Amino acid sequence: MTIGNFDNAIEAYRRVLFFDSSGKYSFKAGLNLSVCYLKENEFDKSQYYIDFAYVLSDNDSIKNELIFQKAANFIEYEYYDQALIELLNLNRLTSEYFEKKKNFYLGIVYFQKKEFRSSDKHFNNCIDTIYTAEKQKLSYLFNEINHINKRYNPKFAKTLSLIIPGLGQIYCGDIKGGLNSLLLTGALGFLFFNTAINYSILDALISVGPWYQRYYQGGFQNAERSAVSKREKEVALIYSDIIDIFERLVPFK
Amino acid sequence: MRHIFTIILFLLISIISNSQTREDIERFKDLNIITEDKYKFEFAKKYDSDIKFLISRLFLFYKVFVSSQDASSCTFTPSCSEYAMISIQNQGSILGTINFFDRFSRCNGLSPELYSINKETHKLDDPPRNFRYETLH
Amino acid sequence: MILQEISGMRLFTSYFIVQYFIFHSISSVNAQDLFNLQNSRKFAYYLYLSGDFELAIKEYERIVFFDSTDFESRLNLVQSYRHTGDYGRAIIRTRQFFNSSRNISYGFSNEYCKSLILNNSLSESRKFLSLNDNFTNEDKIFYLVSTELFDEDYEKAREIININQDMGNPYIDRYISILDNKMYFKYKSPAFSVALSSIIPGAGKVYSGAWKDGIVSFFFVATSAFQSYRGFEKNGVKSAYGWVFGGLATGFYLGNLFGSAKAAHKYNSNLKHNLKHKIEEIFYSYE
Repeated sequence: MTIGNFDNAIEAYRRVLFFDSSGKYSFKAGLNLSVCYLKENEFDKSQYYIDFAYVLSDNDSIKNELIFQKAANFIEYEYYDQALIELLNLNRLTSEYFEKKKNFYLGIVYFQKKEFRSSDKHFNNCIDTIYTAEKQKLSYLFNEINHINKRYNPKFAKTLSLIIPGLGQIYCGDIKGGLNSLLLTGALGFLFFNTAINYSILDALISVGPWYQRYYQGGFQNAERSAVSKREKEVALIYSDIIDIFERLVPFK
Repeated sequence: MRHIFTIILFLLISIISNSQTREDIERFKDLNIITEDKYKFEFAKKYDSDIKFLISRLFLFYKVFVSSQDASSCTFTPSCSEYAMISIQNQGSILGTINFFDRFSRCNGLSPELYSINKETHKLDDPPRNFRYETLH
Repeated sequence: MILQEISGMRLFTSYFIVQYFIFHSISSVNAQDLFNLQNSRKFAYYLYLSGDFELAIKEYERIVFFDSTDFESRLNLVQSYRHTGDYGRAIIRTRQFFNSSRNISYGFSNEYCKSLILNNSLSESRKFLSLNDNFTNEDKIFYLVSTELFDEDYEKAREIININQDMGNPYIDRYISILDNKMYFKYKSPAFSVALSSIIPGAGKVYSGAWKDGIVSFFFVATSAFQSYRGFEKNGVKSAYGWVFGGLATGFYLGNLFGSAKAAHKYNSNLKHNLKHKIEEIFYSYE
């Protein structure tokens, strides 16, 4: 539900930009336009106006904050590589605050790109050395991610379902899907043998063959998919634990 | 998105202090929330005769227990079973079934040039249509 | 979470409204009212030229409301509506600017006629062209021909072209080259398609331009019929296998007949669409 008329605001700020021959208001107008467009889900225009404001500013700190905003937008819209490019483009970081912020953002980006080792390193850099308990918890969580990725290996699940249809899904926790696959492929297999015995193998191949192949293939592809989605679910839980650590470190204002 | 108010306030005032990192954490808090959207075939639950009731329930059974197991390799949108359901609802059981048999034999990937691509699902668009009565407008 | 979002939004909007008025007052203090007619015209024209028709429309509606003598702004407004595809509103606004269709002046008349045709109000377009004289002869003939083409009355269009032979209008020439192209008028007969398919399954589809589908159709009918035959041959009338495949073979055969008719209708429909697009292409580019 949106309250507020961003159309009118966009028109107003564009008018300001058109008439602002002195350039006095262009920075603020550009910035506001970027926010308006983001609210209207016009992602490209929003990024354009951040660049617009960036060029008009000569304050390093403001420029850096604009880069962080641009990177955050890229992350939200899942353009992780672009976000990375922005973050590596930051100007000389003058304060501990910016160093920490950069590391935090990099941690997030690498996490989303599933490069967990880099993510671990950057998140670690955000936490001061005195907070040993939190650092330990962080490395424990990333270890857990390693275990999850090893346990729910898609190729392994696929192989299981190649041997016994449905086994891969059951291994990944999808009991219903696994049983479904087992029963369906089993029934078709039984039908295949029945036809082959009563008529001939050729007849069985023509009539039942294509159907068996369709559901057998679907089965092991499903096994692969359920491994991937199980991974994602478990990693998402760990992600919220990681965010928890940071929330407890920074006092709420 | 929810905290854009605080973001612009911060940007415009540009006061830099350690308490601002809370906003950054909040910004990325919900990044990995998983939503499971399950499509319920509401359109198939309607029926106006006994045969159609039977067919509609058969369709739903098929969708839940059988369709979930295949490789979803249908090149067309809507899928063959959905097509059958819609045309039986529109044209009656007999004509609808015949329509379905035709669609079944067309459902090969060999002639993509005859169809346009559906923007949402990126598959070839083949809803039940009657070319005889379509106008150009 | 929702409450937080709403209160955040309210603060956000009120913040924006405050900002908006700060800017407005600053700009007024600068002895330049950004909203006066002269500045609005500049801004509107900039928006129009840069293709921002939605915003241009807003601006021009304001200008037109305050100044009823501004011919150019009215024209730009109506053109902006047409460019966004809102032909209905372009038509209505033009009618509001003039008392009757007969009075629509030159420049507007072209716009109005274009919008009528694009909106498929073809009988209106015919009426307008007969009532209003503010056209060059060349333009009038072009719009008359276009009206008939959009109405799919290709014979009538031909007639008009033949009556006005030596126009030398390159757009009309392009129309002629399309109408002369026999390819656009070679339709397939659905009845013939079904007849072919009843003898050889799939043949009708091949005739209708979908030869790969035709082969597949034949394959399905033949294989199920063959399997049915095998079933009955082995186990006689009791064979479930035979009956199942018999049913499938019948289904595929009837489906093949249905599909052949459908393929022919589809071919014809595509042909008409192609013709229509070619005509629209020429019409859109008319100056």
